[in-house]
Amino acid sequence: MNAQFKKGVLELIVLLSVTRRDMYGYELVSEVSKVVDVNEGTIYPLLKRLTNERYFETYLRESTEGPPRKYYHLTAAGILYKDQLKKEWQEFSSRVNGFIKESDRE
Amino acid sequence: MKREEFLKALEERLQVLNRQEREDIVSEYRQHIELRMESGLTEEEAIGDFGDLDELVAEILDAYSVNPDYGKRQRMPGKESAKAAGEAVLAGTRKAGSAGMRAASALKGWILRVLKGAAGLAGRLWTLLRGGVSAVSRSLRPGRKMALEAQTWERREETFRGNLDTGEIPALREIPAPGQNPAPRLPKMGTDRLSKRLFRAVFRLAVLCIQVLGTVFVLLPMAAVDFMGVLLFGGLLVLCVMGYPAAGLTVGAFGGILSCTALILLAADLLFPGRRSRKPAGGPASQPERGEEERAHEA
Repeated sequence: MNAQFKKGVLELIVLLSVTRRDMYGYELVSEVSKVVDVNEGTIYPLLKRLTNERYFETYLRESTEGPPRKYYHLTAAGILYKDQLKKEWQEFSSRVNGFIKESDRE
Repeated sequence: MKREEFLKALEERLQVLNRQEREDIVSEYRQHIELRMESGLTEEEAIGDFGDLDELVAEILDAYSVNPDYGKRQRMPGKESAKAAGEAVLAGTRKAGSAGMRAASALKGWILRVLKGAAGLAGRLWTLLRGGVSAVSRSLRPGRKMALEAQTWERREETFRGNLDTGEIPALREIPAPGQNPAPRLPKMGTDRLSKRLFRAVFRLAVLCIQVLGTVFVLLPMAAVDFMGVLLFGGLLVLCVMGYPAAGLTVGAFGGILSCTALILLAADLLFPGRRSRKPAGGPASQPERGEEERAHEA
């Protein structure tokens, strides 16, 4: 699978995953891996970047199975950013799909 | 590679970040590896999740807007070095483009700074000059400060229980120093006070003389010239209005008035330092104030 495709859409998928509920790193990585197969080396830095840009908030929650886990929570800015990305993706993908249909006809 | 090795190498490469962030990242990756191992992977495989360490570090640093090549070691085999060279050339050309713009703005900034520096220097020289002259006259004239000092001395006299003239303190034993320094003697207060008073009177007289002479020989003539200049200016103005070609002389007269006034103010300031109509603060306090003002202007 083309790496550029995956990289482009990764941010959107990460943001969408956290919309429903707060998740910790590992959980988030497995969710994202269901949709697109990227290595963790890309996801964790992405989480860090989104946190630094204040789209995510993090907090620690105690866990029964080991050290406390860092949970990621979508901020209001994150929600707005997610909606914007989603809209952009939908426009973009519909244009690309339309173009593909045209080229298929010829 | 073992887990601890990997994490240690990672931590080393992230030295540019502060300790909190570094620990945060490393602990999160450690947790990930542990959980992966729990779900059945070997240590090697779990670490393999993260991919190439260099790339990982570059991505992480990118999240903090740190140059991903920060702290990279010089071990660059073939392909990597070629890629690095290409990137360096690209970056170089980009820099050259922006360098032109930056040079222009740098030059402008430099010129502005030189001008400001010159202005500041001129201002400081001026303050120094004024301060120097007024400091001399102030040291001659007994100010509030000396009066305060005299008061403190007098109060110290009252509380001092020993013999003022010889400096012996009855209650304390003299501690013999190792042969060299005798006990320090306190100054003889009785005789000193008289000489100090005399000094003060003489200096006050001297300053008064300077001020009188200055006023008579500098200020009054300048004031007279200034007044005549005003009259001259008035007359020339009338001539101008009447149609005579006296515009140049009028402007010259006006300039002369301004110069004379400036010189009068300068002389007055030099001769009578410390007398400020606006600020009630005395001489010693105003110097640092003015210095601060200068600095505030420059900033």
